[in-house]
Amino acid sequence: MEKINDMILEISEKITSEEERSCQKNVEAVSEQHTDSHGCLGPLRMAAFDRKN
Amino acid sequence: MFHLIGFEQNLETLILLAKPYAGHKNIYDLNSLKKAYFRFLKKIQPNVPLPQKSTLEFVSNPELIAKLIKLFMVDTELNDIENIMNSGNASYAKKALNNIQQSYQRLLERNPSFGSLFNLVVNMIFCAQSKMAGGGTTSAAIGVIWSDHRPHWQNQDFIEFFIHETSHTLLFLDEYRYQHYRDLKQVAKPENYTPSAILQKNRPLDKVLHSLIVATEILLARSTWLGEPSTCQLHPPTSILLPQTRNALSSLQNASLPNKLLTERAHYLLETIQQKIAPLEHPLQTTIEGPQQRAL
Repeated sequence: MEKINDMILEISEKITSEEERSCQKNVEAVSEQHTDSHGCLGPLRMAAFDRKN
Repeated sequence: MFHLIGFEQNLETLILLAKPYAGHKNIYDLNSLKKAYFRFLKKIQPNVPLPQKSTLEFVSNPELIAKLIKLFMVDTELNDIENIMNSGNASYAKKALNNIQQSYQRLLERNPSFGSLFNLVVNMIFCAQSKMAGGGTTSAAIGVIWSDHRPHWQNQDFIEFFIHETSHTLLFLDEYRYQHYRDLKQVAKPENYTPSAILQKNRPLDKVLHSLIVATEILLARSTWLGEPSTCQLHPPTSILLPQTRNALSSLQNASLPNKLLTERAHYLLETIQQKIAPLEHPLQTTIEGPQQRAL
């Protein structure tokens, strides 16, 4: 637990504002892709299908 | 994703996505990360419920199960296989939850490091019946796993199921950080389908990318700590899964248009798959109970 908390703090402190900005831009783009205005694409659904299918 | 790019890279993605929602105190430990992750999820999927506590919730409330089923039943052009779920059944759900809870405990014992990442990104597990699948995930409800585990599944099938669904969840989060597809409308077109790694059917590119990640995760887990199952129910044995994965990867890499629909990040993941599975051989040594992994 202590080790993972150290990792989290270390990663969090080294993230740059540019990385944050780029990530936010992608979050907005992906959100838009997944909920397009025509409603025809929507979410990506993944299933662990039975092997016989 | 855990085996493909490692614990730390996945953790970095989670922190980066959650950071804008951490408030003035920033992210400094597991608790602050989980709270900020919840706020991120609330922002991108406001209709998806979150657990009462910050720990994994095994959902038994019939109303909540019905709500989650609706989120998984949304059919879109990207779903090449429809009507995967039947309906909620309260008595079934209760019994099924007991099984999955026990298997979850076994997962934490077998690989605490993987368990730590699982506990961070997965918030809810619910059970609902299906004639076609043993469970699943959806980008409409990131952090939620649906299970309809089969009666004939062995302990290893359950662990492989957790690896399978966690891989989808981590890949959804990675997609939010980097973007994976240039044009989902093109991805949905049947002429751009290529063979998937597990079902070996021509499928939309998102399903193919996810299948390649899942298959690689299963292969790498088996080759490093899980061992080859004595009987394979959920996934094929390595002697079948490994060549199928290589075939799906090369088919995708040789398909010019589908290849162009993927972003640089998706290509990086495909190249990493190629590097990681290159040294694998089959059959792997059969191990019923592999060594425990070091806890983080």
